[in-house]
Amino acid sequence: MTLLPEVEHALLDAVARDQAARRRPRLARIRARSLRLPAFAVLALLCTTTIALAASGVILTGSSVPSSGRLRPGYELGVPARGGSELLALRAPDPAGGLPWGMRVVRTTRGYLCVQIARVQDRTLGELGIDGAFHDDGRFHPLPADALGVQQAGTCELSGRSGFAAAIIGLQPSAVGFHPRAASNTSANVSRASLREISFGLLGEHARKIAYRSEDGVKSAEVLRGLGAYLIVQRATHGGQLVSASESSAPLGEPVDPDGTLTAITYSYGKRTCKVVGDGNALSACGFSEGPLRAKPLPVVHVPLHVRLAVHQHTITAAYLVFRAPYPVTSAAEGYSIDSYGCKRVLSGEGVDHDVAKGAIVRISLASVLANACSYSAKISVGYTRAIDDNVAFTALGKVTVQIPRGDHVRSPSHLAR
Amino acid sequence: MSRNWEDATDAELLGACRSQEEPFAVFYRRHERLVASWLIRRCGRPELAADLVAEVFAAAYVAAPRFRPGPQPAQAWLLGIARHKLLRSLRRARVEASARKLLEVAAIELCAASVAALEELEAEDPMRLLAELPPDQREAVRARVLEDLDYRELAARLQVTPAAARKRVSRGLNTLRRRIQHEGVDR
Repeated sequence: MTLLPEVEHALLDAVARDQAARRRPRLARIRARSLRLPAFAVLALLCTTTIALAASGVILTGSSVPSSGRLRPGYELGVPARGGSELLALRAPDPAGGLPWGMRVVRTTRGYLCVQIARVQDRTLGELGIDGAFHDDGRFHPLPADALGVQQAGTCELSGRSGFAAAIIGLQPSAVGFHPRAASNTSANVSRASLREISFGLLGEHARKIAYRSEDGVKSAEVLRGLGAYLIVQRATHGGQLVSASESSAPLGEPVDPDGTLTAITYSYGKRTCKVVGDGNALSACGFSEGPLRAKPLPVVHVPLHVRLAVHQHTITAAYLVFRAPYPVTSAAEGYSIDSYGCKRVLSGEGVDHDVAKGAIVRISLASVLANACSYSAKISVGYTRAIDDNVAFTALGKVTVQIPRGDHVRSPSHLAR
Repeated sequence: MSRNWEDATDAELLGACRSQEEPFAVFYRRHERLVASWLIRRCGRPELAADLVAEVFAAAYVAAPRFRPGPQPAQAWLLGIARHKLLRSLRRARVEASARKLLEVAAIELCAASVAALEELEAEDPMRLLAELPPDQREAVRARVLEDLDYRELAARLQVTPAAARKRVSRGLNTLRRRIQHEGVDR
């Protein structure tokens, strides 16, 4: 008898499907081929706008894609670093023709490496005004340099990682990323064949070649040397859930497992060549073993911790933990976080998601702590986290108890100041 | 005749789970309570804990070929994944789901009985079982799992050889697993 039967069933179903799929690669290929004719027929009906644009060969440039407008240098993703943006010399044709697809790599001020996928015209990355996007104006809309948010197709990873292989299933030919309108387009009245499956990645300097599934069987291609970049654009007819994204990644210097339509990646380490075929064996296939944890806790520094409560007419309207930073936060790989203890349990806390100078005042909201507190006091522990590759080291800095004065009560958690 | 996997070691189960379904099922049932218990006491929310349990085991399935049998038991490897997934979820302020996406695990709707089971786990004194370990094993497990010390650092702290430190952690985790499973049956 298991504790969580629904979790067990979901996992075992997925495992059964995974093993069946890997036992029947030939059957899967035949099924993919059988979709070609109807997929193309529906594509001809639904992608008339795209084809018309392709036939003209020239697309007028429209307004830029609106910037998210929320990026700040020392906060969350940060902003594109000076000179850190590069449109790679990599083009993938669209199945219906027209402008090719391209990939831009952007390094940010907080240590992220972001990749964006969109259509390319005149060495500029952008989105198309088709299929309902940009009021169907038929124009090319350049992506601004700071388009790093979730609206665009792509991904951001902490740049300590050597690379990743990723896939997005269900992107529109316009290259407009996932948002509510795109999601609604996956309803029954939109053909899967009108959407795209994008496989892309940065596999690192040792990557040489990829093999991938296509409607014509397994193909191979060289990757772009240096970053090991690749980009494949196909109709979303290969299976997988629409409007979904997946990714496999590996720390610096290690091979990455294939993802998306990739079936194999070939790496070259000096005179040694290895082929990784996507069953999670990347390390052993290339003769590596698991390395030691690279992120180590720093020396413990006990810092004075202060709780600040704002009370108005016996109502707590804001609550913060305040202390001086013993260690700086210089990138997204570092940060401060709190855990709170109460009600015989450990509650997840909050943290800072921005840069902090050493010695600067750190202020962390206690809104979620008070929201979950079941008595007039809650114990809070503070720590400094530092990530290197996959590993996160936690350095404990101290503990403090929050006391809610008798007679006072906490304002509704959603209305507490943060 | 098919093998009875119930008696297999964790290393044998992980070695076979990518080609057969039963070894993974046995591995899941063997360690579900340990992982669920570890997670619910840290996040305090049954739905989040259940999602992370699924994510941890999906990641374990994907990474099974990378598991190297050694002095470190599979439980430590599994809790290492759990720790990583929990921290990543907290850091990103959303439940980590990369392994579930990779494996295409269906969304989980937690029934009331499972919520109650997780809440019962949560209500247990989190440090009681650890406190019941012999002192040498308790200190070794606490430092290795909670403080994330590597074996060289642990050996220096305990003033033993790294091999002896590994052995203490291994024994402690095995003892914990047996007690957790035993309590699970008795409950």
